[in-house]
Amino acid sequence: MIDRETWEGVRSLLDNYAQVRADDIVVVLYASDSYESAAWVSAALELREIPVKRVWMAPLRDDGFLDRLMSALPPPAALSGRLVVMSFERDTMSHGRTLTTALATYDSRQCSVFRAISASASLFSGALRVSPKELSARNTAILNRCMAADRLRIKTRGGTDLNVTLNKRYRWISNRGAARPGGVVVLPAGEVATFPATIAGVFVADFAFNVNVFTDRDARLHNHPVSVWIQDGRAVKYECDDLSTSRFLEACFAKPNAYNVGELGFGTNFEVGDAVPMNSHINERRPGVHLGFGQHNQRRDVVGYQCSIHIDLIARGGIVWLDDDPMPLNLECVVPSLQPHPRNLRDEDVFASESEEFESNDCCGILTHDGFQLSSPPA
Amino acid sequence: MTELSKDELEEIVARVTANVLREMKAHEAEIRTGLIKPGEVSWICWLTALPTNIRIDLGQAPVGSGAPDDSRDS
Repeated sequence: MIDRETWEGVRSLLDNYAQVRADDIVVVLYASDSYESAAWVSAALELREIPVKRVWMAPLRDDGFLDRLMSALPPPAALSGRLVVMSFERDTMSHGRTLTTALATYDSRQCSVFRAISASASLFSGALRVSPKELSARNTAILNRCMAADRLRIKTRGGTDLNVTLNKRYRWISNRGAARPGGVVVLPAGEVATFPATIAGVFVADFAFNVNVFTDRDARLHNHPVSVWIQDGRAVKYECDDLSTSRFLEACFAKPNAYNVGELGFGTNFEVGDAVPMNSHINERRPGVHLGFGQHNQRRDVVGYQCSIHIDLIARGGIVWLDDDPMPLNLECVVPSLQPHPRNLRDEDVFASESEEFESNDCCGILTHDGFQLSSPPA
Repeated sequence: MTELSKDELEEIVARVTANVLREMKAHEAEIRTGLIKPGEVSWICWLTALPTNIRIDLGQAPVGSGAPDDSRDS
């Protein structure tokens, strides 16, 4: 029914991520593909005698979701502790705007939101067993070196050899599982990423892919790595010995701007070992380097192109040389930093598939039916 | 939290799972929204101005149709 590692992950989610307390009220949202995740978390909450309400949702399209959600939410005045919302979906991130609207009346300091994609036994037995504190220390170690660097040279055992330049106009994202008022914690956690100002060389993805469209294709690449040659920030050629995978890549790269390297990412979740077959963010969090082709991770006024697709190609491990420093960064052996995590970095890196007419700066406001509102009253 | 035996844990998980399944089936019977289809955009990594309620055909793209057609940077 549930193995020890999976149950440890459930407990870690409640203890280390959500830090649930006896006076909290928990609302669990779940899609049908993730009913087991909802059941495991509900069982753990029941054992702690913490009130839990469940709300089923159809992924992507569900006109009745807002009504069901509203009927499950407690009146804000009834809260003595916090409202903790957890959602579980396997392939999707759904109803973001609806959720934001429903939670707009709560004091953001009294409300925590955790949204899991790739919900599965693997999510709990692997990725969630690492605490936000451990991820923060590793993300900090990488960020402190990379944010001060201008040039990177990246190699992997599989044959990757990339030259990258960085520019401080491109922000870094740090997903580490840490909650903040008004924010959404995206799970699984464990990654830092930016947009490479320039990137050229060869990239060998020998671990997995992760694409933002629904597919039941096996995402693992260890038996047929994908080699991508990159010039001027764009893929100019790719090869894969597996014909089916080649056709899949051809279809992905056929979308306008999908050739662009939109993301340089480093996974930091050391409990992710071997790749899981499903198209999954779990694979993307594995310690190593990945490149996201297509949609980028920057504001539209900073990077101008748009793309409907984002496909991450993921390598196992990676060694990163920074500027002229002779000591490289081994992504599989990051020494945790004792320093505080850099402030004001974006942390959310998965959003519901709803286009937005404008971008928030995702740290001070929320989008409601009445427009953009500050998530906390001005001091 | 008190440590449970394996049997106790499995009993509780089985009971709660049965409840969740019952709730789920009731909702699925009421609401017919259709399945997600292969190629549907299921998440985005940053807010986009593009429509995302689209389906991307990952199996029938014409070969050689993917030439870059826009500047990478603004």
